[in-house]
Amino acid sequence: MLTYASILVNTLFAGLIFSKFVTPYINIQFSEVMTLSNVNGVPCLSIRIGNADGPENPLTDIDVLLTYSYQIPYQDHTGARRFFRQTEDLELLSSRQQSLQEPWTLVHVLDESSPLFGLHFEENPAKNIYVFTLSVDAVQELTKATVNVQSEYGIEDILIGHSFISMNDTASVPGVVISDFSKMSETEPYPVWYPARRGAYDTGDLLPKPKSWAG
Amino acid sequence: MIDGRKVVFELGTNVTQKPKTSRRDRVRRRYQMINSKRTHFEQRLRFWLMHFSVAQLSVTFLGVFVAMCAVFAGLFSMLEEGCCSDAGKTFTDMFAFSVQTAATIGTSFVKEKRLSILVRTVSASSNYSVCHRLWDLKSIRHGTDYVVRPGPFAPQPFSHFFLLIRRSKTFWSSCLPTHQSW
Repeated sequence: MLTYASILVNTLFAGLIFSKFVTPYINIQFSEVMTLSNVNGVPCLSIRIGNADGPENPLTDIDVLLTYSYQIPYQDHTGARRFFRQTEDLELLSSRQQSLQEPWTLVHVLDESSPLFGLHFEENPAKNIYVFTLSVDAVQELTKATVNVQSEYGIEDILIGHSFISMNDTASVPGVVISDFSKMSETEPYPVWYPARRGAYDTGDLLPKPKSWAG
Repeated sequence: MIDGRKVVFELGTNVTQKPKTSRRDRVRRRYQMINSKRTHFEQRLRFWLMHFSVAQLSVTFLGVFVAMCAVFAGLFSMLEEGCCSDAGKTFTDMFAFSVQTAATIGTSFVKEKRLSILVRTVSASSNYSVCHRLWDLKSIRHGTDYVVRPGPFAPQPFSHFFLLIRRSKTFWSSCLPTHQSW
């Protein structure tokens, strides 16, 4: 009996440790906010992600999906208040990468094809959006297994008229890209012409022009 | 003639030069993350271990195993009566004892060394408790006896440690139980 129990316990724990050992794990760091600012004259919704473990835990075949969910209240024929809930994709400028060696800024262009085009986020119908979800699929190179991580953002997490500041330093050490993850969510004021050139979000002269615009 | 214009092709040779440095050196960039929320130690240890090849891991395991046995042999040599109730045993003897016992080969603590090849092979490759049972049967058959006989649930290295605790009369007796049922 003791022998049987010993074998059982030993094999069980060996299996548990083995399964823990080979379970893929990734550590994606997401920006705390989303930004809405112009990129080359086009309003863009941006999020930033990065592999916080870096070369220790390399990732390949990164595939991201950005969705937004909204609910529309309505009254049915009995007068009862109901909600229609729906989740739709937001097309990203680029949604796949072969690796995540440096932070990646995901961009959704708010042009005429975007479901968010022309929406004011504090007014109907955009205020019915209750969550943006960013889903990241990646293959952990060490275990060759796919992992999925997700992060959610609310409407209040969209910083309108802000742009992410650069995290990368390529000048300090030649041939080395240094990414400072403490700047993952840091932004600077940046103009956005949204939803129109004279719209509510046209920051105009209210915000200081970026240094790069000087002259 | 293209769109009414004559296009003349010239044979060009050695137009561009082959790069002087290798592609690997030209394209290669190193990446460094600072101030990131890195995963906790256990996961990083896992990542570190997973980077090694099977051969490297095997050599590392062997090294750790030998080091562990050396530590236990050192602890045994600190006992007044030495290892296995034999004060005449040298450090090498106790190291051999530690290796054999930890590897569940265990010949040195059986007085009568007539264990068959089958038992040794099974001992070395199978579960500790199974070995224990096999040795039990063998010892009855040959009338031999164990000098060390830890309980079936105690892993061998720890059983060494418990043995050390139990037998020591100098530095453990004041703070540990005086009797252990094996």
